[in-house]
Amino acid sequence: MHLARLAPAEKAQPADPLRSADGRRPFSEYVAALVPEGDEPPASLFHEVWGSLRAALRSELKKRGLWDSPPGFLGVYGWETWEAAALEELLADAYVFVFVDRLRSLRAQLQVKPNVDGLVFLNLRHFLHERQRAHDPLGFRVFEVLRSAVRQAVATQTLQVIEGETEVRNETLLRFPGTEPETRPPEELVRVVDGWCAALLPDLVTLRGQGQDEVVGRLCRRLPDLRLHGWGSFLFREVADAFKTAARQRWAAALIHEMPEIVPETPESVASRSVPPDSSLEERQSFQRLVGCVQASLDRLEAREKTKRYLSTLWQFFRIQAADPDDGRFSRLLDVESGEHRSQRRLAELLGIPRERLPELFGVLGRMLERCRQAPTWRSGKSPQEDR
Amino acid sequence: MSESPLARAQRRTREALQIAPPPAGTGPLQPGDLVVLPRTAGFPVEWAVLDRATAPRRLWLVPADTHPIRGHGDIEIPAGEPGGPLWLRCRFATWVSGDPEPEAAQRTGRLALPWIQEAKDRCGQLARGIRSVSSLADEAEADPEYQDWERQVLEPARFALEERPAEAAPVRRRPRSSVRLWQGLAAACLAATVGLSVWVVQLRQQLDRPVARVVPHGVVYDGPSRGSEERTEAPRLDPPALSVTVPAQQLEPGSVYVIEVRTLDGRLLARPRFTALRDDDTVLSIAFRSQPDTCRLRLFRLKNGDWGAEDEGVVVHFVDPAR
Repeated sequence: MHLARLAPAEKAQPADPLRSADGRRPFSEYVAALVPEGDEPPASLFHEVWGSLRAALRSELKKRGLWDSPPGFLGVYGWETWEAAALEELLADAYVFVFVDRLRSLRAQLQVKPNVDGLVFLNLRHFLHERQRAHDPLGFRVFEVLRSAVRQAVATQTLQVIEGETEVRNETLLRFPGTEPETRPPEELVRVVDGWCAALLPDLVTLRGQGQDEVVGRLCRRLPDLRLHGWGSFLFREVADAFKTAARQRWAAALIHEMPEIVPETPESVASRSVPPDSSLEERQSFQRLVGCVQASLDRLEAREKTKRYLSTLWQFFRIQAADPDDGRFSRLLDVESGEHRSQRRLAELLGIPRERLPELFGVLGRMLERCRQAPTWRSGKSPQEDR
Repeated sequence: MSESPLARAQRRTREALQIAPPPAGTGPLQPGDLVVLPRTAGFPVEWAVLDRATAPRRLWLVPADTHPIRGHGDIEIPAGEPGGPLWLRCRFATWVSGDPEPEAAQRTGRLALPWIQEAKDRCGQLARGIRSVSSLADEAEADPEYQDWERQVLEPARFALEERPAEAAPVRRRPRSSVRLWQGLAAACLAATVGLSVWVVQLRQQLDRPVARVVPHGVVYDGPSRGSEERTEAPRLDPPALSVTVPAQQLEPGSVYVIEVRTLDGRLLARPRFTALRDDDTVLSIAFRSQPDTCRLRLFRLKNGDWGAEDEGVVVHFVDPAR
């Protein structure tokens, strides 16, 4: 039966990290031992938690299809694969996110729950979700739009969930009703998703708000293309991965000839980027605050609707181009003199913005960026006031 | 030599443990208090006290969690602030009986009062159908993770809290309608009003229709039936909003009801709930994230966690107010 072939080739089979060999729950035990103003928990317990969290993290990376992606997609730079050192970098950030930043909340839940193991896992998933959103904005956006479109198709019974979570996740198995056993040729999948990209880029990654709903609707109407090309049933992850790859290639191809300096992320380019591997969590958080500050300034800007739309599109474009914590990259992209965007004609075509308006729009974004960078809140650890 | 990841984690742990927690409050719960409740122990939320009323004794609570994603109805309390990082979900704030205090509430922290004021302001804006302008919030709300969080955590947590004698917070109530038109209709009548009930559009229903029939999945009230009892119109507003009036005659006092608003293809737009009071019509203002062309409203009564359909729904078409 063809559906049997759809089982994921490598299902994560971690040891149960919730319990130790003797049945204890190290995560909950550890949280209970982390008493503010108290002594540190025993080192042995810390190391047990560290190991269990590593196992959980590795399992979650595999489940999300990230294990085979460059660590740069999660903001860990300097490695091409998830070798031990790269995983330890991510693990330290995950640990801080779960057990340091959220310690008060975990301890609060221990007052009414027998254990908080589930909450630790939930926080781990939130951590990865956030990292993907921040460091792989193009891939994240494509995934999000596809997932929304598939959920919409499931709601209208254009698609059926055969196996897995109805919320649609990577391992969800879907089928078009009444589909015959099909051939599922890989080259046809590439053709289908490439067609989607041709029709939907750049709106797929630059539109927000109601515009994004429209893109989801457009993609939803195109999903039956899969059935026409012999993909009557599929794992969500298969299509999502192919779609992300196609979108990255299209995005690069649209710019590569005349804008070599801002060739977008590809697994190869991310892997070889020379951002120091020890760029701290604090720096990354500050960078995200900077992004948030500019976004909020755009929201508040009093300008004609069309101008705001152009600015928003251009800003989303730059967010994708500068998804790492090197905030100087924004400045280089926005500096007309630097030549990083020397083909304004190409950019105007890609984004559907009149070319003659680009210098003015660059100027507005550049000034906003500078104001946000100089605002006292952006490195202070507090949310920018204008983003509240 | 740079610090190893493991050493960094240990250092951050030591630093966190050196910070003394703010003193917990004592006595009756006060605005700013953070609590956990056994009733909602199945969900990863705390509750922040926004306000308390004396007659009757009630507490205004808002769910608070640590999912780092913020929509239009949420207030983010950053890390470094007392209680932070924490996200207050104002769309799910609710009044609960405070007499006695919510049983076995355990204090877990305390928030600075400016955050509480900001949350109250946001709740007020939501009730008036005012939406903040934030494309980051637009992004968050378009994220299926956020939608799942609302549906799987926040909604049922509020349900769990309200299952006991509880008060939802309808925008306002008005005296029982004297219009006899409503009497004799079993359960299917909704009146849609827009804005602050300036424009009331009544859903009329023929007396001889079968009533209390559950609409099978997939049935859409569309087609050449404009002006019939199953369709109505409401003007598009900016920000997008719709008010719904539920006549008191349709409701069983004390029961908890839900109005479900979906697009015609089934996407959930809003699901406000309220507790029916004797003699008062209920008016709810429903804000939308984006303006739908049409939507379907259905009224449900919550019975022991099971939603019994009480009407067969009405399709609302949004039209230009100038028409």
